[in-house]
Amino acid sequence: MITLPLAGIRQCLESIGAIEVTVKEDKDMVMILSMFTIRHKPTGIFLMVSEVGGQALFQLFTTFDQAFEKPGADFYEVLDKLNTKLALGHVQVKEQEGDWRITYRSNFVGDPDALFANHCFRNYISFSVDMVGGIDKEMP
Amino acid sequence: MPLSLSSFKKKPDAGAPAKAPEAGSAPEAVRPPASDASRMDDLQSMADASTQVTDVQKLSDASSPAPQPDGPIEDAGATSFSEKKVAIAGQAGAVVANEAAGAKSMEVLVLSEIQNAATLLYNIRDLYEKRDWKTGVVLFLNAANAFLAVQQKREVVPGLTGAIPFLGGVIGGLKGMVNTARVMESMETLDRVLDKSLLNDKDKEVLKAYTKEQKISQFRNVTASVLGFGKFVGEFFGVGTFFSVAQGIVSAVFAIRDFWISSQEAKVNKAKSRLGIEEDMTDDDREGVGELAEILQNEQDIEWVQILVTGDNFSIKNLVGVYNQLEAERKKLKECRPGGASAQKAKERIARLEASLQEGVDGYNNEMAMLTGPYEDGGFKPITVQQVQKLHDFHVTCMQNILTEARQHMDKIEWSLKGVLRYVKGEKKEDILKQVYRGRVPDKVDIKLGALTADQQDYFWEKTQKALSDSLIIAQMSKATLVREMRLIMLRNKASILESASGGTGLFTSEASFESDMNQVLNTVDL
Repeated sequence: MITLPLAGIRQCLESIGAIEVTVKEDKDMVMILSMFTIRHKPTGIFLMVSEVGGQALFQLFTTFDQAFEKPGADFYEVLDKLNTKLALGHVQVKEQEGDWRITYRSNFVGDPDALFANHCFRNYISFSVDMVGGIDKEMP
Repeated sequence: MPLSLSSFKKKPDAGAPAKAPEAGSAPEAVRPPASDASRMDDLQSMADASTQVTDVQKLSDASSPAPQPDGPIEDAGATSFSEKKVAIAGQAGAVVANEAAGAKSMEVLVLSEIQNAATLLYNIRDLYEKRDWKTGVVLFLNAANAFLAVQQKREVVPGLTGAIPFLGGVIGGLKGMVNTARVMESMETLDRVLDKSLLNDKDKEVLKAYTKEQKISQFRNVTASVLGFGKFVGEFFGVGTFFSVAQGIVSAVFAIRDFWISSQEAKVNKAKSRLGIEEDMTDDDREGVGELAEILQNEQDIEWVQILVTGDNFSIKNLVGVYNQLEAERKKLKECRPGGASAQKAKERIARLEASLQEGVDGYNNEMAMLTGPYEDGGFKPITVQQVQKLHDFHVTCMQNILTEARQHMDKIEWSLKGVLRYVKGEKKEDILKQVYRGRVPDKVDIKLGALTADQQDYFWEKTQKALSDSLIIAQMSKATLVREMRLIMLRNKASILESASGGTGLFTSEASFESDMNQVLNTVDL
């Protein structure tokens, strides 16, 4: 597993507005749980970091609270439309115990030694958080 | 002649011949081709019009630090750029002048364009900080054009990159800025995203049509994203992983809360299922169930006083039994020949039972009023015959569903050794199903009290009471209740919390401060 600048990542997340950052290192993966306040709601942002060809692959997830019935084709059409308008990441639907929820996911691949060059990592997190806020605004 | 940036930037008068540079000095500006000149003007005007001029040294620092000049560099010319930038540019210009004398005019042009482009790039950084994406994108495109021109001219002037201390860094930086350009485009898109709606009203209506009732709305609207997050993580990594990740205090508290609420929600769902209540209760339904639950709770609260004071026991369970007989007689009447003797007798029995039921309800209300005072003065709310009927219906449904659960459980465990062992141990509902109903769930259960022993009757009655009460757990839950339950859970898990609390928060670091830390967290975290 590549060595990640965890202190820098934590600092970056906190500078964007994370109220708490928890890092869990596993054998092949680093999991970073951070809590943001997005649109006045505490929102968990989960970052899963793994290695791809010497680069760090960041996968960011968050799930919106609104539960839905089993979606039909028209529901997916709206999500498709939403995806075309997102500048970063995409949304997908996941079922959990009969509740269907929308999950936002965005990925980023970067050199672990140059994550903070050109604000690229910061941009990634910041834009993702903005996207989450933008999507949340559209939730019924 | 001292070197100055103005000598690079200055555009000669139209038609004036270019002057040859003096020996040992920097080259003088050479009039560029018309197209280049106009672009330079455009770029410079953009640079001047944009925000603060930043230090070009930063750019060279990023890749190849500029060497210190061999000798003092004088700057006598008027310039709008910082002295440092002038010095570097001047140094670069001097190097070029010495090493590429045959291509001086081109080099000067290149340096000038680099200067302009670098300024543009750094103005973009300022714009980024200000989130002025639109202007940033425009400036970047112009800077990219400028660097493209440099790239092209570099081919004309061999060795230029090495000759100019910071050109390598600039060219390298260009590659990075290409990525930034993509980001800038995203920024512009983001700007639109945040300013305007992503979906139109028709799309929103589609999503709305699929929404489900929020089961714990009064809490979920603040916490749901966390709850959803926990579920999502659990889905991929298992709940254990989530908890091992959630070592921080805030997330741990949220996790505890969510699990507790989930357990309450499970209770509610089970209770509603047993009572046959549909998933989406209307406010009227909820109010009706609430009143019944309250009545049963009142009865439990007052039961021992009732017996002590009146020596009698007008129980609601008995009233439900009376109603059950009444319903049975009504059913018989429907099966009788109209006008016949049996129909007449059935009607008489029905009249007696109706009177008996009303008398029982009145007696019950009088007794309650005697013990707790009139309702108007804060006493218990009187019950009605309609409520007894509703309670009867709930009780029948509850019994029916419990027996169905027992049958399903028996079917399931017959395929499992472990289950068989559990069955051998015996559960009450399964015993009742086996003993009273011979293992078969009746099409419609009869609560006829005589068919069940007193113990069995109590068992079902308590289940109905519990279901009615549990169905309202969430609706009646207050924040105070939640905090109280959280406190109990945290106290029960003191050891593991002390063990896993992250040191970063400074909380839960010792047993001595556990309680005060717990109070602080519960008061601080918006549950």
